[in-house]
Amino acid sequence: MLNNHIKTMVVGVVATLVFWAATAAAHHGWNWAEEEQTEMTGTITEIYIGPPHPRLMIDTPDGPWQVDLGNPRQTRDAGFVDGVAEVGDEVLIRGHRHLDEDEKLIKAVRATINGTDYTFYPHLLQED
Amino acid sequence: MLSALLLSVGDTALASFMRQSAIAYPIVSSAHIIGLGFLIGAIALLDLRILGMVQRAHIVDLARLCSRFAAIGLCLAFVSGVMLFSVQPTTYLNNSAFLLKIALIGIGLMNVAIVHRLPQWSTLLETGAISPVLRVTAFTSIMIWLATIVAGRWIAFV
Repeated sequence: MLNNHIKTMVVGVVATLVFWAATAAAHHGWNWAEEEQTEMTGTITEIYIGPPHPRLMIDTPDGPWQVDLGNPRQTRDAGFVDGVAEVGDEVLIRGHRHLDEDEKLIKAVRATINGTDYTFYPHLLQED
Repeated sequence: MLSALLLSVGDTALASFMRQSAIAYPIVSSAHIIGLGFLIGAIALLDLRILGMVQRAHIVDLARLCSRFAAIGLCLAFVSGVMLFSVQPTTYLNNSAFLLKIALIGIGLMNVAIVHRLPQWSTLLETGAISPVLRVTAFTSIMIWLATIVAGRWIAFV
């Protein structure tokens, strides 16, 4: 009988964990972000180019934002490599903001720095 | 002191290789998953056998084999994990899911250390007799390691 009890407990805990993980997994597509593309401008405070995910931290009038770039290959193919941008550079980001307004995170489709466009997702770029 | 040491992992040649190579990260990441497969697979099998939810296997053989497999998996996961960590130590040390995962691994390893010192564990290895205390530690073990996986996966979503 103890066995049945343990089984029930294990099943309950595992089911909870799976559900928890599933709600989180929804994050990994782009359905966590707005459908619509928007633009924002900021000053670069941090640049990370490398695995698992290249990103920028920028200062905006709205406070600090995280900018997720493409994956390492997409980021390199976009021409965004070490040396093309520096902390302190102004950047124009076109991309999808997080649906939750409190999450200061934008998924960049394109970044423009010093007049150069770096397009991480050319096929997703929506022109106004 | 400790955090300075951990941060300096990011300044090693290995870390810059991990950041720059196109294939190193995916390969080491795969090694980490293989390590987890060995570790969690072996642990789950033995824990479920001790809990009576798996009944076919011979417990003495299984206990010895699974302990060894789990140890191999742990070594692989640890080495690959340090390499993955080296890519951006600051980020990971500021990631609450990462810190939780490390704490869970610490608790899991303490559980291992305790179990292996229990006279009941020696008895199990000699006679196959499963005492109630081992059921408690087996239940604790499987919960901790499953939680470790969830916390680890959560690192990307903090």
